Amino acid sequence: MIALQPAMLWGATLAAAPILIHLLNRLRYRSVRWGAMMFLRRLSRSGARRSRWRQWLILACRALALVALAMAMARWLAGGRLGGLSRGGAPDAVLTLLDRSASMERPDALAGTSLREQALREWAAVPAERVRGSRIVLIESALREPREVASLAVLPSLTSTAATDTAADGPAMFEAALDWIERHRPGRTEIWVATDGQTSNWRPSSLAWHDLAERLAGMVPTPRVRILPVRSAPLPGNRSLRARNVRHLEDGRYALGYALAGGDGDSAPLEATLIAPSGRTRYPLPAETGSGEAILRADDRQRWAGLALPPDGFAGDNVAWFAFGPAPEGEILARTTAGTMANRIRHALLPPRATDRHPVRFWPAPDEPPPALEAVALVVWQGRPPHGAHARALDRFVREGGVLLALPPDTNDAPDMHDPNPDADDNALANWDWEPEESASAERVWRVARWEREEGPWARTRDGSDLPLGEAPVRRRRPYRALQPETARALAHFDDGSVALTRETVGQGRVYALATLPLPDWSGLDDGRLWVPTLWRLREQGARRLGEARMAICGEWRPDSPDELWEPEHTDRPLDPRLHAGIYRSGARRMALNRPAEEDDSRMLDAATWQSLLPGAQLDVVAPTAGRVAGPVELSGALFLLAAIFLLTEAMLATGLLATQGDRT
Amino acid sequence: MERSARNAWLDAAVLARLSRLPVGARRPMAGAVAGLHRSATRGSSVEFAEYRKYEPGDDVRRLDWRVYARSDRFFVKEFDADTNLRAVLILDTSGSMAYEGAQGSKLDFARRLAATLAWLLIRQGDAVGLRLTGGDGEREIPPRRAPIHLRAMLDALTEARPHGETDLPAALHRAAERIGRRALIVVVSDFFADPDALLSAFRHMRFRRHDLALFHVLDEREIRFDFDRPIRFVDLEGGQHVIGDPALMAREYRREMDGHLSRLRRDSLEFGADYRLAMLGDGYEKALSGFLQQRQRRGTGRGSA
Repeated sequence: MIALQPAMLWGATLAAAPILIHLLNRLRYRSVRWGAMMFLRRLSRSGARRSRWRQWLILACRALALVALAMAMARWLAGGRLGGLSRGGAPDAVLTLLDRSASMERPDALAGTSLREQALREWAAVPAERVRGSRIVLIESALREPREVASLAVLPSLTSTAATDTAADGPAMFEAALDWIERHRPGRTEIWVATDGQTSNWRPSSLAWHDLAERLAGMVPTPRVRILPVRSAPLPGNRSLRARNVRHLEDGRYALGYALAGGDGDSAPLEATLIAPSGRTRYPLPAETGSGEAILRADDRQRWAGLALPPDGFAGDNVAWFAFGPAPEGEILARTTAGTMANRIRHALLPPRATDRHPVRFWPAPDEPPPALEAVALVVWQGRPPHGAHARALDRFVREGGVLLALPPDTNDAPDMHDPNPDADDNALANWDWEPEESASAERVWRVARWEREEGPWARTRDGSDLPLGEAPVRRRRPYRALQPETARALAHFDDGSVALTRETVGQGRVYALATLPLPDWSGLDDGRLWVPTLWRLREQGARRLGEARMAICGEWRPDSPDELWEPEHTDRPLDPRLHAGIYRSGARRMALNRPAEEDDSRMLDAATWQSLLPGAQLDVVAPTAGRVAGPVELSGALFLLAAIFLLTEAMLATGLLATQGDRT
Repeated sequence: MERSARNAWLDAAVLARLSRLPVGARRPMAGAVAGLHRSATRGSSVEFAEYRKYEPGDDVRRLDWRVYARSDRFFVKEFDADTNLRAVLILDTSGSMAYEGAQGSKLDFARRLAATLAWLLIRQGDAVGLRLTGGDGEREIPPRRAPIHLRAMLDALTEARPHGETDLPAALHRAAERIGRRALIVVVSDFFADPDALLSAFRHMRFRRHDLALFHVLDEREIRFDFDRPIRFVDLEGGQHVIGDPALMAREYRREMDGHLSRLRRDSLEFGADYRLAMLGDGYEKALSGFLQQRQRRGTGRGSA
């Protein structure tokens, strides 16, 4: 709410006048010498309490009437949920942090618009007096580049507030906002956040929040943070489709791997649509949730496809995009400290009876130059991380889309030439580490009890069978100490809850970290049924970066340079590959971009969690709601009416017309 | 006591107007000398009373021979004796009588009423006594007929001071026992006491065959209770106080007061007491004249006993 004539609010202090007069009157009651005390004594016992209540009610009515009158004369406005933004007058700057992640496109059942549009409309409905003279800065989640805008009202019409297929990085948005404040020092600042509060985007366990809270508290004046959560109504029967991978089969066929979720148990086959350069065709899909493959025959001219579900409650999660084509096998580069590890890797990759080939190269010594990694799909690194030029090379390899399998050092090994030195590099991969070694007791060994079966190196086989992970005993292990604990994802757990396999995203690549070694004295993971698919799958994943056709997550992939021109191939509309899912082409290269899987996460932050993220900050969380946005309404009429009601009630109480039950007896 | 102070309770004009009205008793009196009032004993006046069976010792001159001729039985014809009246004025001098209305205090009102009534009674040859009952105890002036006796009563009235709390019912019980012969007892009070106890005392007086007249002295405000803001009510009889909001208490106070007045009036009339509400604002003359006129209409002690 906002007051158009805030000076009139001083009139509310008059509410103290009746109370002061009452107190003064109490000090000087008029005395009357009275004879008929026998009646008064009888009455005073029962009437004293009622009298006291009545007096306080009269006082409250008088005070509230004055407050209501003052508010009415101040021309109080109510502007929907953001009416509460009015305290303290207009700030010098308002930083609007807009979550335009893919989940914000979910429809609001009542408003008929997306959550993002709902939030923008609520901001646009904030009365102009509330931000008169304020600098309005937009920081949206996709690009996080602060941009000053003319007013809140223009926000819904900006292209930089339009829908995207990306995820949002909440802490990074806050960081961008604090950077802007520190750079421009605008004075009294408010940070307004509009988001659905998706946990995967805001990462409440991230250590970054601690630093952000400290930075926020250290600012003078301390910015005020106002969270505007938007919520979507449940979408019964909604299904989501996600692209997983593409496998090249024989005779020119491709298997498009997808994951289907939702549907609320409806088992009727889905009339999906296959989108290809040649046009659209119907493609029936089984309704079972989980992983599946759509088989597609493609010639050399057909190197991409889209699979679309029939329309349902939310269209934003219905399409999966695939790009495919012949991909080189890719090399494996290994570095081991355990002597037998090298053989394990070599044997896993050698085709039967192909003893004359050497598919595995080994990482050179630290005093040698780092290796060329252009044709490498997978690096298997057993031991401590490298440093110096080797670390930089490995870091670049992963960021460009390579896959790194990190294995723990064997405690019994000799000191490693790649042991970290005090002059640690500043690249991310220089900091991975392992916990001290743990050994299972003689009576009981560990086993992998839970693992990701839908994707990753231990996904189900093509015929739907699980890998025999549970059969492999683990006797020794060294838990992995993640590079980025808040984003690292555990893909497998031991039966005691400890993490067996971790996956981290670094740039466009992946780091997989195994907590044990595929050696007989460590674990049974050296079983060919486990170790061979693990290596082959990781190499296949890493080899995708080497082909002309690649698949990536929208928002995570960026063109190598701003000069690269990537044009959409699946539509004639101009689209930005940094923001929108689809098929993009740049010369001979082709990219299939899909919305992040995390955008289907249904966990949202509640008000208490918001408070815990920024402890000590001036934080307001507006109550979430779903519905149509109402414009500001002047409340003067209602307030005058309210004052009249208070005065009427006061008169009735004062004259005894409004008597309590006890008064009437 | 100064003469002027004594005469303060008597107003010549009022006396002149009221002197035309006799003070009558509604019940037979037991005076020692002949007077205006019917005696409790049969006597020789000309007012026929009743027939009574002859008893040995009766004066045979009072036999009614005509009745004997008709009924063959001896009946004596009795006549009422005329006697003087003994009146006792009981004044409540408790603290509550100090309440000040616009025209003065309730006690002053009672003093004037009692003094005027005493003057009227002595003027018509009746004996008048006075009992003052208040927080300081009781003071009694026995009934006398002599005009000089009026001075003693006026002095007593002047010296009376409203003070303390009075157990009026107990005082009335004592008076009922103390006054031996039938008398007209006039009680002037605000009657702020338990009505059950008061009515018990009145019943006691009637049991003793006294003619009872009650002047209930109140101020208009004590009935209306029309205050407009919270008041500290200071007890005239004890000094304690009650802070109250009249707007809230008025309804119930009036209900209590009305109940008290109704009960006193109804029950007093039930056993033959002469109840009269005397409002300060109306003046004592109005209360007295109404009392006297009513007595005159009903007959001065010549109705049924």
